[in-house]
Amino acid sequence: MMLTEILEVIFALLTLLMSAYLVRHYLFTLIVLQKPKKVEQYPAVASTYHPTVSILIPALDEERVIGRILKRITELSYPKDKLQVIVIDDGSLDATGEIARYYSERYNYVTLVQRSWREGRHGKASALNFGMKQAKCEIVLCFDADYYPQKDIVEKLVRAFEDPKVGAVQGRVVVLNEPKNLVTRIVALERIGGYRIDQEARDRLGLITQYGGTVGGFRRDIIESLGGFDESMLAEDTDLTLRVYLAGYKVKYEVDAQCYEEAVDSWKSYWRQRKRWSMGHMQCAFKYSLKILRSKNLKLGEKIDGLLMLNVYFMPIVILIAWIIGIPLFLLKYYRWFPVFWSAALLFMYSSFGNFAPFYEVAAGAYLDGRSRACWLTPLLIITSLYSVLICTKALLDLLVSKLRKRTYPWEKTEHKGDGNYYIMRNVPNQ
Amino acid sequence: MRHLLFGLFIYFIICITLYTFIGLPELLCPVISSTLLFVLFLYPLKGSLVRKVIFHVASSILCLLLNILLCYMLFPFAKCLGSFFSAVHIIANPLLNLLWLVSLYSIGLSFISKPEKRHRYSAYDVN
Repeated sequence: MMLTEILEVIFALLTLLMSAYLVRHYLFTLIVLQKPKKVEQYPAVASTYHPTVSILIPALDEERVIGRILKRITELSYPKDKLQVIVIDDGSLDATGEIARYYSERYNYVTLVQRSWREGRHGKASALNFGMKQAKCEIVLCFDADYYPQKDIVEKLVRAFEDPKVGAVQGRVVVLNEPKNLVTRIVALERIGGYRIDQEARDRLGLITQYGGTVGGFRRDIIESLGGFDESMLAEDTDLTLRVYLAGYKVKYEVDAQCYEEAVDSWKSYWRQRKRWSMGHMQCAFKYSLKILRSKNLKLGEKIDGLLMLNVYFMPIVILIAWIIGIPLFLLKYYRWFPVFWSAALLFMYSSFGNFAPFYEVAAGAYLDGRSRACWLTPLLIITSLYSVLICTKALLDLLVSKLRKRTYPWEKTEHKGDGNYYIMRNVPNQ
Repeated sequence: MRHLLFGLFIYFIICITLYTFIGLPELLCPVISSTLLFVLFLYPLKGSLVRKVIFHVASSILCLLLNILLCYMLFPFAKCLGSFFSAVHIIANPLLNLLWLVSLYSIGLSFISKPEKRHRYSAYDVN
């Protein structure tokens, strides 16, 4: 008797927690749908604010993609006398260094910094700290090597820094190789939910907007005063986001600043990438949850949203526990509210990975983008949602094991195949 | 927001109609909850109100028919398995309803979107 009552309470609490996320994301969707901000396309925005900008491009064994982004960087419309591009070759064993050197020898604003394979290969945070030593400009932007930015992306990103309260900025990530296969199509849907609705709504509501580690940047003096990137963290971006907020600054989201990424194209790569994200996020949850609650720089709404955002990667595990408890509980003792709780638990089966955007949020984002046919794939979110239960459970177990053994978990790099070039050529035939 | 309020109004009409003509709670619950989800997810989107109402009413009728069919198909099992069936039904029924509901909702967005938007291959301009 006692056992069923305890299970009942646990099940009800877990379902309430899940419902809190469902309501949060429904409100986000409503906020963005009420007044959708029109995504600006070319030409570049006119602005007189042109601070000096350092662009960091960390690269490790990226010979298939590094040339593409460096070529694109030379085409940026931002004044080149105010631009410093730093390519960080973090101990590559392929031709990444040679390709980057080709550009650094031809363009005076491109600098190549290299570490040998013995010194490098310690993760992105370590590479960024190495590159930061060379950065001389007021604003620092970061791009991953597999990304392909819009020509006017720098103007679009730096305009946020006109506001002195803004410490960091984030642009929108769009999947470049979306038509390749089922995995890339699902990743594209996840990105739509995350960037078209979730980030946009948080920015509008003045909640915790996330700096995503790429297609974004920060003020150099702030990151230096915070001691650079924390190399022990697997999610250096989330770590930086929270440090910026706790220091009393904001992160601004610019939906117009779009950059195209080469998404993972196999379930194995998906597992590796998302497991790293999960572990990094969980590390941040352990490190910052209490600090958020105690912070005097954050408002109540920011604290609540910050906690929900930080603990989002625990939700697949919560769902798993709710399912495990729910079924035997129902068989042991039926109570009339069970179907309602159970339906809420099941609704989560259609949530995207990363920010847990439920199917209606993803569909609304695709709808706003004018991509009704992409919406047809929304039911397939069930695949990644169930996959995320396994990924997050494994991530938590690995994190706990590494904590017990007092070892840092090694950085697992995502492999990029360079398939994005085909889609760039297809969309821009005269390029 | 006005579309959402109108959708709620339609929802109440559907609920009252169903309650008047169908007394079975096993049949009413999934239809009423599915219809409510359609109201919440469909009406806030930009698009023609007429198309939304058509889609909403059509999906409610479809939901009712599917659940009637399901009831008839499962009736022999319910007779044989007794209370065990009832347990399986309560656990599996929301899942079954959610499977078709999400699929129909996803496809239905094409129906309510503007034609010029519908035919666009991509919203993105990599240039």
